[in-house]
Amino acid sequence: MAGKLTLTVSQLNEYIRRMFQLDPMLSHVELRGEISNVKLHQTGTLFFTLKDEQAAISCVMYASDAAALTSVPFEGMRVVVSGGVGLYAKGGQMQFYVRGLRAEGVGVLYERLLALREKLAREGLFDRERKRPLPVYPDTIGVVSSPTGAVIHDIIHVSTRRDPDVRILLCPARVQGIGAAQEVADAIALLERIDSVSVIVVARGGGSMEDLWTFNEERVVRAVAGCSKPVISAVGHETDVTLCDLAADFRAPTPSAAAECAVPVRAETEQRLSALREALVRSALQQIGRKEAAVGLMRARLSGYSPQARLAEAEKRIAALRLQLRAQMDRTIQNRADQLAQRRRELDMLSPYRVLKRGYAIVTSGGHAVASAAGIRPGDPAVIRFADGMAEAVITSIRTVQTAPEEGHGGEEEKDAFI
Amino acid sequence: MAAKKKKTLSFEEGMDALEAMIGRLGEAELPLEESIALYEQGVALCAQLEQELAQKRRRIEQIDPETGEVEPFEAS
Repeated sequence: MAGKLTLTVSQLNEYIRRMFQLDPMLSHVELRGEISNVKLHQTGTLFFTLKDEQAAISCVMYASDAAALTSVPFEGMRVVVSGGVGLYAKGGQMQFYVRGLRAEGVGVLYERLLALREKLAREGLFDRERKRPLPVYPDTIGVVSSPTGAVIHDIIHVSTRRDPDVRILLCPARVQGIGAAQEVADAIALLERIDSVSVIVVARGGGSMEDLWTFNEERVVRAVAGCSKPVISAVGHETDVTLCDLAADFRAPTPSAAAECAVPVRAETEQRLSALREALVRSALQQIGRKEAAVGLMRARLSGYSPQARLAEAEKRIAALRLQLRAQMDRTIQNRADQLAQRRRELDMLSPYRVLKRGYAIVTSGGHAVASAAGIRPGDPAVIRFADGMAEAVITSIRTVQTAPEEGHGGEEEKDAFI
Repeated sequence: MAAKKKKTLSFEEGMDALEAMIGRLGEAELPLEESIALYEQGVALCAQLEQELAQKRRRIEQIDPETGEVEPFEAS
């Protein structure tokens, strides 16, 4: 123990740094505490403070170690970190160099998930009314996924099977670990800006809840919900529901199923198009047929008013009237004939010649019928007319008789005149 | 990638427009001139869509998130 040793600051810090390093306990220790002041440096190095009720310690987690994390640890998260104590020689601060980090206790992540879900649900991000229909005939299918592995392979395979001429634009992104959420959100935004992209598939294979954590991160959920193009989410297995799934317009149980939803079968598209062409021609023909029928109907109605039709109509009426007239005339003539015959019969009944047939005779003298003895004088010539001829006579004498008043028949008088 | 000016209908919009035309063409009171015009438009649209479908070629590409460059994608 000689005189005091004089050291430079560097020497001291270096000495302490080595002391920490050489202590087996301090270089391999687990530390329990609550996280605060999280900062993620551009290089991927993670800085935060770990504290309990009484004390705090600065922590550093290098990018190479932080890459294994599923997500950036959040404020207040209770964790167990593993690593060693060291000295940041430049500033002389004691730090804990974190090599591993895990959430303490079951349900920490889950609670956070529920809280975020609750918050975003209140904002309406998961509302059914927000869901947009997927395009039936998309142009390019945008895919956000890892460029390696089964997921993109499955999507390409299924898509190509459905449409050999499918267009896919992959925007590669890390799908787990620190920074993955930002990459996924950026990828969605990038694909959204490309016109030809009609629908965006966000896909990741199965994994633990921590593995899928990226898709529960707020910025991913907001990117999906805010995307102007329909988003299909196919994250994890069917049983894992992430907030990304809830915010998407459509949730597919697997990446293959997402491709099935996004890509129409080409043959069906072709069929549909040719069916539309046929329908177009058919409905045009029907339309023309309808017009033709309407014109025909008009023509028929119009021709009813044409001069020819009116003439024909008039001729028909004339012919009918002619017939009526003739029939009427016939009836009239017949009536007259009947009347005439009747009169004739009546006249015959009254004819004086009928009387002659019964044996009477008519006496005329000087061209006049002599109906009374007073109408003739002796010496007068007379003509006696019988039914079958006549005789000429001369009146020799006249004798008048008294006729019975009830018997007014002149015939008897005449008869008497000749007796 | 420069945003392409959207002057023509997308295939999807074209199919929708075609269906709408057929629906309109089925209306009884459609004037003749309009139905002829619709039919001609429809046939032209049909031809355009068929051509579009026939000319479609498989394209599997990836876009670089940093540079925005697009290049063919080969799954590893």
